[in-house]
Amino acid sequence: MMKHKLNTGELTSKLAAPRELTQAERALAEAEPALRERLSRYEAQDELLAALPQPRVSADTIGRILSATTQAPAHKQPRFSRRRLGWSALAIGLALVIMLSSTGYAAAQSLPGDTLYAVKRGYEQVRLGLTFNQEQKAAYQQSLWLTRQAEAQRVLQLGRQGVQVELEGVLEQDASGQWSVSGVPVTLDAGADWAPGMHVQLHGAVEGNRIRVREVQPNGDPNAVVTPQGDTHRYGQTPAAATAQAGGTPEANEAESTSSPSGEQSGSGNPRKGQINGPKSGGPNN
Amino acid sequence: MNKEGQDALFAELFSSYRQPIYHYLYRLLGSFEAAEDILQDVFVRAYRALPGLAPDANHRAWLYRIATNAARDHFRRQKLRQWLPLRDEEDGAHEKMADEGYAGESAGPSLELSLDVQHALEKLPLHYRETLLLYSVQEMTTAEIAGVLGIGQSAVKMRLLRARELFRQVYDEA
Repeated sequence: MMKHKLNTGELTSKLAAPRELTQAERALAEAEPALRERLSRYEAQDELLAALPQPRVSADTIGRILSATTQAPAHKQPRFSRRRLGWSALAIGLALVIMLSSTGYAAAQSLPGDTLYAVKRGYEQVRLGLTFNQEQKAAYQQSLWLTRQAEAQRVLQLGRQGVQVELEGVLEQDASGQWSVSGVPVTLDAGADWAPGMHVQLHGAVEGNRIRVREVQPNGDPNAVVTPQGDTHRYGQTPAAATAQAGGTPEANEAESTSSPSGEQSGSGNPRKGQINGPKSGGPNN
Repeated sequence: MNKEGQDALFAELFSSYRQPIYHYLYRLLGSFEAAEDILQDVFVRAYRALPGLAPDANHRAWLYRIATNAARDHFRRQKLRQWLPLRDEEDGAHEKMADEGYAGESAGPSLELSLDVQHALEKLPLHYRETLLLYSVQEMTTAEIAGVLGIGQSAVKMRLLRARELFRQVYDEA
């Protein structure tokens, strides 16, 4: 029961936001033909506007924005915790040696396929290793993902065919079925049940204006790797080596992997693996 | 918040909101190119303003406020007349939407219908268009919209009411 009776003017104003009407207000509106017609019209407007197609941000724009923000030179300056002075001093020393030298600067600007790229990655690993605060470490790791995404965008823009790249981010699919990882266009072969929204780490090579994926690792499960053909094996191993280590045939392993009632592989608690291996468990060979 | 924390927060915001804000800007401006330019402007502004952001700030409302202000600046700069039909861009929009497969989507309205709706939106005064898009397309509450636009909640409802009636009028005339 409403505390006070709404007049038509008050109720009309409330009708403008149909989702926020209380049951009592809705019932009042439904009882009055003119208000009922108005409510119905407004709800139809909401439905029409909400269903409008959503254009997608182009990969080029994503690359430009990342370059203009997180890739700006000011953000290359390393920051260190004051807690562990000894380690920090060492890290600062390393950072100065690397960043202030012309080689270091060139390395910091390098892209996959450049000679100095290994120096840049090595520096990142050293800095990551010397960051002991878990929160800072996670934040730095995340900034590295952004760097990888920006690098991938850049090598695609430059058209460096065949260059190997690493990428981590969220798997997305547009209306035409094309895949991308956090805005970076990728090519995934059929054979595994890729699901939009999965957080993945992948290795691949530039092919045309996309990254052709060689292998994908679902984030949070460091032991599982899915190749474009849908094979699952330990990260860093070939599928054949994984099969040999497990002591069975690929078919036997596949059968074992689908024996779990949940559809997940044994030895992993990652719920995404069930999605990745979905076609196997429901496929004709099982 | 240190710089790395800011970068991490920015990465999260960019990942979550770049698509809906782009959609909002496109519906507001009626041009893909302008929406992409303003989107870049929005995230660069956000990145610069991030260090001064209150820890308990509503990130979504904050970003949409930046986007709305950036769009208003764009209109001011370009001195666009809001009721002027963007004929040149209509054709481009038609082609781009078709290229991106919108025409084949069965769940949403047809391409023709979408363009009619867009034309009707472009005929609304900017402050009505903002309010209607934030409520109906971005599915914000009137309280959130009040935060984005910097006006009271009752003023939001009044704008929404007028925007709906005007939208109906121009859409029916089209």
